[in-house]
Amino acid sequence: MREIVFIDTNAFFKSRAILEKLIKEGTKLATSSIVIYEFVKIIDELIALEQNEKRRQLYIKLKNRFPKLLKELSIDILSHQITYDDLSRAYDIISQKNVDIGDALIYILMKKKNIKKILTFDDDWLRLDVIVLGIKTEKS
Amino acid sequence: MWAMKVLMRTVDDRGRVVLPIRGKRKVFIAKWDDIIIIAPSKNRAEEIVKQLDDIKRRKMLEFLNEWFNIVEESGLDKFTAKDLDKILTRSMLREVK
Repeated sequence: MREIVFIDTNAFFKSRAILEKLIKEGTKLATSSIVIYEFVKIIDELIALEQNEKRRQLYIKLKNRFPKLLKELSIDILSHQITYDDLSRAYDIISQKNVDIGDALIYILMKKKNIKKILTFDDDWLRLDVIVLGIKTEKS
Repeated sequence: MWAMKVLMRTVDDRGRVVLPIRGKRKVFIAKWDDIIIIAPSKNRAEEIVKQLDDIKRRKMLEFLNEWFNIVEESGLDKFTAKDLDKILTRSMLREVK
């Protein structure tokens, strides 16, 4: 079975070289509805606040291209089907590992789908037992 | 350029189809994405699948390259993960105000 790497929100802004490598290796990529929500919220905020018109147009271009990026790169979109138990577990993870709700739910999704690697630049992920691509660690 | 012929065939309720090939007792079928390739030999089928894989990968890299050209031109690649988190929080707070 092909290895799956989960793509976090910030990776869509920062990971040209790693994504290039993963595509060349034929690694399967996946993301989730939470990541999509976060990406669009961030871009919308940037579009709303940007004073420089040229930069604002580039943000709009990225927002419009995002669905096509997911499709062209064959990035699977996973859904968070959250149960009461998942939510309770997410609360435990938030307090024990000091991460936010989005990360806790993504972590639970990864565990359910048996995904062991995440491409992220958020060092909060180093406190969770997954392999973090994007940040240099002994584990990765 | 080779002449290309695309034929339509109906599939019966057991998934069977009559191939437009005569004089062949055996064919090799490869499935790639939602495409089915029928070839006269295993090698030929594998070769075509590999070529399709290469084309797909090239297209993926091309799209990725275009994406990050825009990201870098806009300066978003300079944002840290924490910067992006702050923007997200600000956006969500504004929504509930």
